[in-house]
Amino acid sequence: MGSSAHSGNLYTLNANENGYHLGKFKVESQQFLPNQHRHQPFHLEQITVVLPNINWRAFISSQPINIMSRSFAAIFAGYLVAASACGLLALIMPLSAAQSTLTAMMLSFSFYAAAAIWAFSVRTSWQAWRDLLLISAILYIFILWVN
Amino acid sequence: MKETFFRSMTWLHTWVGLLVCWVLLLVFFAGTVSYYRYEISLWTKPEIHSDVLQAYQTDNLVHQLQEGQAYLSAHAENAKDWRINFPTERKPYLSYSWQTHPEPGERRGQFIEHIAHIDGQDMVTDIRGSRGGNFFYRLHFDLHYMPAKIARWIVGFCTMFMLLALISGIVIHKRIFKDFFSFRRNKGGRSWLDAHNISSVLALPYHLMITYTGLITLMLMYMPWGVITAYEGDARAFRAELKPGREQVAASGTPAPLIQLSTLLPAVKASWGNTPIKQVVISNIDDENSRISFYQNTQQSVTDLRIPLIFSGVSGEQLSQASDTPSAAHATHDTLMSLHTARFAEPVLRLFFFICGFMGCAMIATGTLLWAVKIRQKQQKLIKQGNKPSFGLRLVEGLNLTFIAGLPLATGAFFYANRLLPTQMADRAQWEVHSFFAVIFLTAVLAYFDRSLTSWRRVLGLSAVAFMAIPLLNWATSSQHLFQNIASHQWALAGFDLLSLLIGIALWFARRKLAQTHTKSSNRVAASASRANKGKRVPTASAKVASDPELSAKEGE
Repeated sequence: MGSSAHSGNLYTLNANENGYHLGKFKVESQQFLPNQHRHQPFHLEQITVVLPNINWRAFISSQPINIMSRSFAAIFAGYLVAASACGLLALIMPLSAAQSTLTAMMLSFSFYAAAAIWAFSVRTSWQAWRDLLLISAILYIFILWVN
Repeated sequence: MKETFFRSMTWLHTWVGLLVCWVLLLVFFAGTVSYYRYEISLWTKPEIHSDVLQAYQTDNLVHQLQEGQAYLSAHAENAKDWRINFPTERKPYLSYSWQTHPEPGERRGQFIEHIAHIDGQDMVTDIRGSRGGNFFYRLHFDLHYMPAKIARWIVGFCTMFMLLALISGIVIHKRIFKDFFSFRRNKGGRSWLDAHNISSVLALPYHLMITYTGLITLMLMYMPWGVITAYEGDARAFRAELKPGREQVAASGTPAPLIQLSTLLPAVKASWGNTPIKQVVISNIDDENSRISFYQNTQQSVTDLRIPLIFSGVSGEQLSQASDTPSAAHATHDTLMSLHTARFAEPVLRLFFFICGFMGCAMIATGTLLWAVKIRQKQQKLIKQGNKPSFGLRLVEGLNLTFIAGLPLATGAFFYANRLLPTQMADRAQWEVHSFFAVIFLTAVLAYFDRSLTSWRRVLGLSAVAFMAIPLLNWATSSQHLFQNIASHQWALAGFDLLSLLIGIALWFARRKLAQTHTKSSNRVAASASRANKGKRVPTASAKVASDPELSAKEGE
């Protein structure tokens, strides 16, 4: 993709393994420069702007994103697991409606805690999302099926 | 996420704990204090300290019911409901109270309570406005200065974090039994870690119980999904099935005279025997649909089903049966609830709960102090070169001072405001609460400018003096002083003074301990202190242990 022939072009974008480079561009007259820089010794040809070559895979697994992702998985997807488990148990337990609802609600916080621990113990953060969402989806399908 | 499960859990424990610890400390502190909710409420009403306190008298019930009914029909004709409250162990006085109809725009009417003198002559009506122990009780789940609903979600969120911190804490605690027996004094950060371990492990069953049952008390709000699937979202139907006695009957609009309450006593006795009655509630007064509910004093039993005996107020016909055996789930739920509130606990057990709650506060406080110590140690080199400690460290140290040292002082301020504010002041109860938060705010201001050991010593010293002087305060502002209360066996009031004195002494020891470490360690850290910020900063609580290599070696991130 790299191109070295850029004479006549104002901007070019070159890519190599280190990232994207905004290509050198030549300015024929000083009219492109802001006023205050007009008389300074300044060689525009030497400017190279290096933008980071974003490696999405690396970005996602970087520490802050990873932690945020896991936290959200634990808080929201974990709640989803607890909520759907609670909803399902209230329906299927072989007790009276009030009793099974009560039991399901009392147990639900332990499912929540287990889900949160799970989110922080699997290898990658996307695995946490996948597992928790999958479990809640299965539980939800069961709720629909029982209903 | 870290290389091993163990390391992940260490990381989780640290950050989950740190993120919510100050809210949790407030909740734990207020919750612990509210184990003595009724005792505090009693103490904050000095008007009823003499000639009022009495025990439950089975022989006198008929007379008391008649008096109550006459008094209420004379004074509370248009009330929403009447209550006759008999003396119990923790509320040792007879009172007649009523709730007015809500004014437009109010959710519920005003509660008015008049308390009977022992001799049965006139009533005590001019009791100072104070929320007493109820303030701490509400504070521990409704917080303050915000809508209760939002506060409950915040507290629930933090409680869930607490549960995670406990579970991950157990996982990372490999030597749980060995550490239980080791406490290394005067070893700086090592000692903080030991203190954290001991306060956590010693009361671990309590911590797990109180956290989980805390979530359960508000589970209808946090986890309504069982109701949504099994009852199609009809929470009212669920509650009605759960607590049959709680159903409200609307007034019919047709007036009908109320029967004499005392005529129902034989029927109550037939169902309950001589079990003490706690309360009689009369609703829809002088209406065809009036109801009279008798509530038992269930103080001693672990489950508290509160299933009342309900009578028609017109015919006296019994409308509900004495409670049958509760279902297993119901009993479990009830037990969990009363474990949380400790409503069955007699004085010794209650003190034990109080101590456990205090250990919970200590666990949270030592945890966050430990964090500050370790981070300060990491930044020691930079601080020595004259750099400021990082923002995070300053924030944590400031919040530690504000909440750990500020909460006891604020509580003291609440009690002083209760006795010293003019009794006829407008919004008096609210100003007591404001003084609690004003003291926390002032401590925060102090912490902003100076987080040094000197500040800790000042705040702790002030609260120590405040608490030690509480018996004197009571002496000066109540009709009954400590020795009179001991002589007349008013253990709730005497206990309040004695416990305050004890807490004051403990705070004084904490202050002295800090003073000693300060002089001992000041030589060691004087150099770094004088270099940092040109000697303005005195070594902080964490600086004194800044050179403890064992600490960082032991713990992970």
